[in-house]
Amino acid sequence: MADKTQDDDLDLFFAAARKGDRARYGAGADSLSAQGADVPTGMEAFLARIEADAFAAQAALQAPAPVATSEEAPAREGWLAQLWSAIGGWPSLAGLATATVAGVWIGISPPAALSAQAAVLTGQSSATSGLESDLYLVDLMPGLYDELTSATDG
Amino acid sequence: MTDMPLDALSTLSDDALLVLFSNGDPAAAQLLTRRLAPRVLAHAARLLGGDRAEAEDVAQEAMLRLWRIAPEWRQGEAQVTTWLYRVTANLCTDRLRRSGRRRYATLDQVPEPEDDAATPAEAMEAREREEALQQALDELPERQRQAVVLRHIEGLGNPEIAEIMDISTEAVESLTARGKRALAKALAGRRDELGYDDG
Repeated sequence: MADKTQDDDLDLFFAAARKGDRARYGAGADSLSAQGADVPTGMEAFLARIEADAFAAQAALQAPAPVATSEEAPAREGWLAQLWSAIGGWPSLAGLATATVAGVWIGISPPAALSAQAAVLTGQSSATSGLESDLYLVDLMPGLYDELTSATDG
Repeated sequence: MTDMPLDALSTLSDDALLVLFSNGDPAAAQLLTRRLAPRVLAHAARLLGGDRAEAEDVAQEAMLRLWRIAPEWRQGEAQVTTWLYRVTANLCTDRLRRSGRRRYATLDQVPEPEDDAATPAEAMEAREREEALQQALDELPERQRQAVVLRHIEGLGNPEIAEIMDISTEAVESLTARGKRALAKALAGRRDELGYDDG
């Protein structure tokens, strides 16, 4: 009996809460046929946000996956990657490495002919001493001069 | 696909509307929003002590999760509302624990309920009752509050509440009984003030 009284008393409070919710938020499922007509003040902005989320989610669902992939691919390739493919990738690196090593080696230990030629070209050898002191340092045909002079003398 | 008018859609179940939603029907999105979001918001507000702004955040998050799960929704396995009430309660629990505080009724922050039939005195009395109830609800343990709100304010049956809370129907009955005893005790002191006996 005490429980019955307790329930009756509490029902007044629950009824007030239900009524408050209906007035504040709308009746939800109960107002389907009249939707839009009885949206309580202050609910429009909230419902608009929810609808915007819903439409965005639908747009994401409808977007075909392959298109999204092909749109992403170019964006991932930066300027470094573009440069890499422009010079030919890994195969071109072998050639570059060889050329670099050769350049370093020539710098450390230049061939004699190159040094002499370089001296003439850069003007480090004088006009008078040029042929004798520089180019003649490299004797490509040793003995030829002697043979020629002995033939003339003879 | 041709979009159906809202009136034709309104006879469909939430499950069926979710299928249409996944197929890109904007009317289904609109109808689901208007059918479900107010209930989710009302429930969140009750569990969060009437904090409207926070309840709107929770409701928006719960609905967003529904939109995302829509394509994978398995027809007939669970009711959409059951799933939503559960997600909403979990989100509210997270918020309450994160803030580490109890909520107190702040119903006066929300728009004044409009009730043409009631006199100003009756409307004020109903409002005071509602606020007193919210304050008493805020003092209940979390699970008792959830069970009482689902049973007596949302008007759900014990089996559905059991499913939402993932407990047996006997446990639901026990929680609501204890919750109501605690509410009656908390509200007893306001018997005269709030016109207990005029109902």
